[in-house]
Amino acid sequence: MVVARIPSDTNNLPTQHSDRIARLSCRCLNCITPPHILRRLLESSDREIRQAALNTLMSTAQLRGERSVLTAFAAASGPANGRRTIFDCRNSTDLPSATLARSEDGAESSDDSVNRAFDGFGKTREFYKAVFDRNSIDGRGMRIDGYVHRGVKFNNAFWDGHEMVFGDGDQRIFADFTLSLDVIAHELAHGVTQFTAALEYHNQSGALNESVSDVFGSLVKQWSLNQGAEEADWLIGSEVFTPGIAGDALRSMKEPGHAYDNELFGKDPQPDHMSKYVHLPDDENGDNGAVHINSGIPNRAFYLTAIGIGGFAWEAPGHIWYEALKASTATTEFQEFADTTFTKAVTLYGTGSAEQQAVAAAWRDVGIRISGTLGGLGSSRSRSGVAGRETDAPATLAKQIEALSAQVKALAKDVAALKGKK
Amino acid sequence: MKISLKTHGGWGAPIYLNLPPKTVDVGALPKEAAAVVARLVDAARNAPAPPKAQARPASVPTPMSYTITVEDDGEPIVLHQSDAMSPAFEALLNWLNDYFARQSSGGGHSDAH
Repeated sequence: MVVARIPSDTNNLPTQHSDRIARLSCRCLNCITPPHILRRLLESSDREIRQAALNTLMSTAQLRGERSVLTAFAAASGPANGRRTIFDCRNSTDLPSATLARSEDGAESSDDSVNRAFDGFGKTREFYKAVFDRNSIDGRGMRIDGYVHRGVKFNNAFWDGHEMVFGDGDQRIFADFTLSLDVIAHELAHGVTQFTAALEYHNQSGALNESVSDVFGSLVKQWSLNQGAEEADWLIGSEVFTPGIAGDALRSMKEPGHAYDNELFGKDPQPDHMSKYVHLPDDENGDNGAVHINSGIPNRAFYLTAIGIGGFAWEAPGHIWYEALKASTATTEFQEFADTTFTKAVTLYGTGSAEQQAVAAAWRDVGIRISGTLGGLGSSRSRSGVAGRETDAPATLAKQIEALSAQVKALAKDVAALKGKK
Repeated sequence: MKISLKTHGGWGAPIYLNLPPKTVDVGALPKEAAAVVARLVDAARNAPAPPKAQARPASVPTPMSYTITVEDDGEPIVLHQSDAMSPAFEALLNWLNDYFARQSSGGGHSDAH
């Protein structure tokens, strides 16, 4: 076994130098190679070297039994500023055998799937930078690798914890998954969730994980089209059904349960309210506890928030959801997330703000009331005026009375104006 | 011999939940096609397990998976693999998907393979 000598100061290693070291030790990037060198090698321009370094980091980590280590290592992979690389699987399922199709500095490809994936990554990366000042998926400039033409007629696109993979679709039900920007952004948002709340992918936390991906997937699309909340279609995957399929899209955030209805595979099963929550087994036969189904509930809560606040959904609504995501944990469920969005609305926009009221009203309209003292002010001023659980805090009550008085005054003014018109 | 396929997960997860397994009656196929699929089943049954996929963090969506059930004389044989599948399983899966696509588009099975 050959073990390369590693210079003592590796922080300023030029990539080529570190590549050369890696080549020397490529077959034996073993546990004695210091982790910081391996992390440096993750930035290598040579894919084999990057993979070898990653494999070594992974196997070392697995030996230690650290399940969440992927996240930590990827986060430590150095400032690549989200450099994009697209590989062509040429219909194989073996990703390591895929060939380079387009890189950040490379020329446009003659393959539309390659270019769409590349552009979709770019728009998503720009969105996170411009809107949330987030540097790529992990917030630290993680490179974004994509694989197109995976397998034969593969009906899926997915984020696997490191990279994104696209199938061509069977062209009967599903088209090429690179066609949809919100699908691309949805999958990359799974990466953002992985590096923030790390919501476990089952039951309510899993449905929330799916919903967060739909929210940011839709926001990337709206942002790229410069669409306001009223103008947006709030559909997810409208481009991935083939023209022969009766259906608008895979999901509708505006109207969960109404995205499709056809003889071939039935009706969209998403609920739009907690009273219709779907209980399924937490296994593959039950969609991990109906994660793709119950996501309809928080999806609609976001849509209602965006409509309630008005304007561009990536502004206040997007910031509230993004901050709530960062404040959530692996086991956060709907109620806790709703409470967190309410708290973040207060932090960002103030007590009694229109944003706070819109958040409380949106969750209430999908059957989730903001908990305890949190909900006192916001929900009492919500659209229907139905209060959540009351607070005992005198100061909050005083504010509620003050707010209600203001509403009564405004109403009286409106009535007077109407009378005047008659 | 009957072979059925059930697909789970991915973007089509809610759709697959609604659908029953797709089934092919191998006895009803032309001889040549029946021989091909029998060989593919045999290869998939006897293929070594695929290399274990890298562990995904608990927050990352689970991969798509496929259950192929072969019913002949005796106990049904259940083959189950995810996206990280053996080449033999993949070949059988591709044959089945191709067959079902032809069936649903009205194509016969004389040229199924």
